Amino acid sequence: MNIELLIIALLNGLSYGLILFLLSAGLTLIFGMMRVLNLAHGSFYMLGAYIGYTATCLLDINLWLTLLLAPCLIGVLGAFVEKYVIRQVQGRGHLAELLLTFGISLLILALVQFIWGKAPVEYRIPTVLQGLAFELFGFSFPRYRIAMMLIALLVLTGISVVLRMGSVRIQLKALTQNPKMLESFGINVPRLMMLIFGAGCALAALAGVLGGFAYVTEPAMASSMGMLLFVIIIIGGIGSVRGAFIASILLGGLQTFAVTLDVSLAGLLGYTELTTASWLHISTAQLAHLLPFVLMVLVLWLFPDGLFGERTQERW
Amino acid sequence: MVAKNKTKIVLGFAMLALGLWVWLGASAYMLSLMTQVCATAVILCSLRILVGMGGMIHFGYALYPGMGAYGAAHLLLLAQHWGVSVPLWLVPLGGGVAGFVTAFFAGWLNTRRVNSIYCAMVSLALCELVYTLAQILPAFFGTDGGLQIDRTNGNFLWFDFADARLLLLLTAIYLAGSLWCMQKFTQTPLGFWLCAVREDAVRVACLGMVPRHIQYVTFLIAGFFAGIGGALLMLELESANVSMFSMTQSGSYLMFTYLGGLGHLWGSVMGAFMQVGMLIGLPVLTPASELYLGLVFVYAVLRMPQGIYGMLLELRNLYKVKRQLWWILQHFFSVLSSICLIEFIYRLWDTWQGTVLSPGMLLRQYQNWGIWFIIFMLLAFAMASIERRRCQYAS
Repeated sequence: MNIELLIIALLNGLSYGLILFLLSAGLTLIFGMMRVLNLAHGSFYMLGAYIGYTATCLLDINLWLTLLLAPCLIGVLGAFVEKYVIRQVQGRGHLAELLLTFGISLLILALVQFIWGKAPVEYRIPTVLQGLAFELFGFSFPRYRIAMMLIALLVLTGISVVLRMGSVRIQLKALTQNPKMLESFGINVPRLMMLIFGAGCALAALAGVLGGFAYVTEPAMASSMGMLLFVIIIIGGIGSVRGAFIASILLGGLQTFAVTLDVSLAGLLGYTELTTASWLHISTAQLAHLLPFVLMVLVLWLFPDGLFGERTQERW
Repeated sequence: MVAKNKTKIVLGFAMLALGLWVWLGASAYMLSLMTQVCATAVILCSLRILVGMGGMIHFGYALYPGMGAYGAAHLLLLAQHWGVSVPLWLVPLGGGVAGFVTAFFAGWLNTRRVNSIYCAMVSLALCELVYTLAQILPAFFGTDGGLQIDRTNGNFLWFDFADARLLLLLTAIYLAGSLWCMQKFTQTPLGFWLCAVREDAVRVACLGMVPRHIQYVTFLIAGFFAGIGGALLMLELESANVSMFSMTQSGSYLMFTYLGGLGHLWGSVMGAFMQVGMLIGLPVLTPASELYLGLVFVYAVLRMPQGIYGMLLELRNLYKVKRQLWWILQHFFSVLSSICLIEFIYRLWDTWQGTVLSPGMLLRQYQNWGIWFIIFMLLAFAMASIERRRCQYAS
């Protein structure tokens, strides 16, 4: 482990963390405004990746056009889902909403397996982004990672600017505190919620197009990414965008480090004759998938509301 | 009163006939399915206590049956290792203890906040934690195929559990015992307090109880029964595998409890029938089983919050049924034609992907999809003409 590898791992972790944040920002925004925990968020990410694959690899559409097109498509789909499905169970408690979004995620999974098959698809890196961005002490850093980071940063900056603009900011703030009051002021609250849900889904689709070629595009990606997102928003505090940002970067960095390091306790201690089933042989790369959950249990133990969540009432 | 007795007699005869059929003539596949239904029913009933009575949304429920299955499997393996024999009827209790111990730790994290969303997410993430752990720890959780066991190691006296009928009997006895215990639980003071916590936790706290402790104790009880159910499932499959912890499994436990009906114990038993039928029976029949699953779930949440049991209770008012006969008929036909349409599209797409892209080839392989298309067209035509006739009649 030397300093160059460290820097490369840091950059990789940053790009992964930014993709995670694109997703978790949408999820936590939807939760904060609508109080609906969207279990189908990972599925919209998957749809984005598959649409990106179809557009760039099968139909030869320009990557930049795809980056514009896929979020619009999925955003409209998400808005429709909110308007015609999720809105119908509003006011019936969290259980109905959770189960409904779970059912939707199953439907999307069935649809994706039906159209694109159950095996992973070969989502190649678009030609624009192939090649190396720069070389650092003999370690190369690919161009698509830089592009991913830049696009994610651009979109997130744009969103944070929009969210801070006068009337939007006031409306959203009011929506979290008292939606009924906002409605009596003449604001169309259901439409606002539909737009927020659509925007969250569009963000997920954008992350899907970018993450699809960087990582694996397969039907299982929805549930694995969905789980990671829940862990992120639990760690960051449910409903807090700042918490989601810090947790995403933290987890992205930690996971990438663990994979890059790839040592096991047996290797460090110099045991080689042990059976492969021994727990000493578990490498940090394997532990990388476990890491978020361990971190989550720790955070829940020490700060039950997450790192930046609003303090809810202590249990009686 | 007379009518009630009549129902009881009819039900008794039906049970007797079912028992006779099982003992004399059921195939091995049917026996396996029925054992799984009984085991799943125990799990779903324990989940109903948490979700239906306690109002706690538990999304990662596969954790407890899974740990119960592994606990029981390790109990059997250890007994084999030490050369002692454990009677098989004790093994599910071992699974129950494993579920109890799991709930002891997981329940504490789950009940730390009032927020029900919090409980849902924490339980989901805890279950996923164990699922991930299970994949990298083959020493405890077994390699790819899971932990294989041999249930005939638990033979005692003259019972030989190679016979699947005996296992079904054991499972049915455990199911009856668990149902009885859980039914009694709903009538204990704790059960009433639990419902009170669901309705208004603050008020319960004002009365001097501790809502958190009530929920925690409920977690322990539910975990115990879920462990028993998981162990029974393990005995039937003769292996405990990692996929018992997967999110799909957790989601389907919750979903089928909801589908059966959260209001009553029998709803969960019906949910168990549905779960085994749809998760194990359906994929054999159709390639589109996952789509049906999703459609049924979404429909159930949108239109059938009372569940199947609640719907049956509604159907008891026969005069209502007569008034809604037309509605029922219409829905029956539209469901049937949608199934045909889905099957047709799935098969057409499969055939298309299997051949070279040419319409001629597609037409030539009509056996795969043609029949579904014809049925769909017939049904759609019949529905349209009936509807038109009805409109004319009404006007």
